[in-house]
Amino acid sequence: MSELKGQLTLEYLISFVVFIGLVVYIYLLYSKNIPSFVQEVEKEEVRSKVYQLSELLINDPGEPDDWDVNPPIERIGLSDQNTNKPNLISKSKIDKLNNTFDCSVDAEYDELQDLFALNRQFSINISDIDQTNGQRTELFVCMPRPGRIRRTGIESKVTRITAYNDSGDIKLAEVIVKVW
Amino acid sequence: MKGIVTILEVMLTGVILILAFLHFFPQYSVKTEWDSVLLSVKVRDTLNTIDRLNKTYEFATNNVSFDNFMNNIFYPEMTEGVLIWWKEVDGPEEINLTDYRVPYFTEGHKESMVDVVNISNTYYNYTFTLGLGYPY
Repeated sequence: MSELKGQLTLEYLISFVVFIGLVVYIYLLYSKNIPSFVQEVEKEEVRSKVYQLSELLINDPGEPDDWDVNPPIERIGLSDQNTNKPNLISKSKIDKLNNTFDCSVDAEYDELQDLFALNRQFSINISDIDQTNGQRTELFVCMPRPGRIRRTGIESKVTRITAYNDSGDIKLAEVIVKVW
Repeated sequence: MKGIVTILEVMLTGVILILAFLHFFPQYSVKTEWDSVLLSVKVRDTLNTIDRLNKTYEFATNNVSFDNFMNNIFYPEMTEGVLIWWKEVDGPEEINLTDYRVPYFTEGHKESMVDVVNISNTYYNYTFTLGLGYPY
């Protein structure tokens, strides 16, 4: 028995505890970054979706490109298919969107969400801008019913400036898109 | 002395371990170009919209009209911050382009377009550049 004496010395124990302490400290130091990293990835995803949606509304005519007069709607885009220029949307398509989808009705909001192929909630606000005084007049508003809004803590917003064709009269508008 | 050496070895190992971790896993930071991209999207949208509204020549020659237009679009509540703008024009003297003072900015983005104007049955080319930026 006497030859086993001193095999586990006090110094060895202290060293072992200090070593384990350091490893745990380093682990905790790095692991606390993981939640914020995951949130940043989610934020990037939301930003990409909000930009895609705004781009779809402003610079894509939709499918069919005259879906406002020739349903069924495969994809929604507001770009004026007659001129096919960037940043020129069609008032006729805005009106059709307004008349077809009442976002306060859950089923219609969901249908619009499916058409945009979004798995997140969104809101769209299209307003005319008076060029003399900057006053905004709403042309189309879509957001889920207040009781249905699921806040995720991550929201991204894009405001796009565009012109719109109101029966040959070119006017100024603003499109605000939010995704969360 | 033997035990002290062991403790010193562990300390040394710990320090090497920390340095190695810091080297291979640098302090986590997220860099995003989102604000910068949004600014360039705003510039492109505004320039395209000015062209769609057929206001390019008017804004190239009239600073008051240009400022009114930009003020109506980019008021602080809308932009959730302060944005500044400027224009740069380049073309023949015959078409009376007006210079504009470029403001101080910390970050800015500009884009140009070439337009044609017909004055007294003569066509003139000129460049209209729009800039947007953050003052601070």
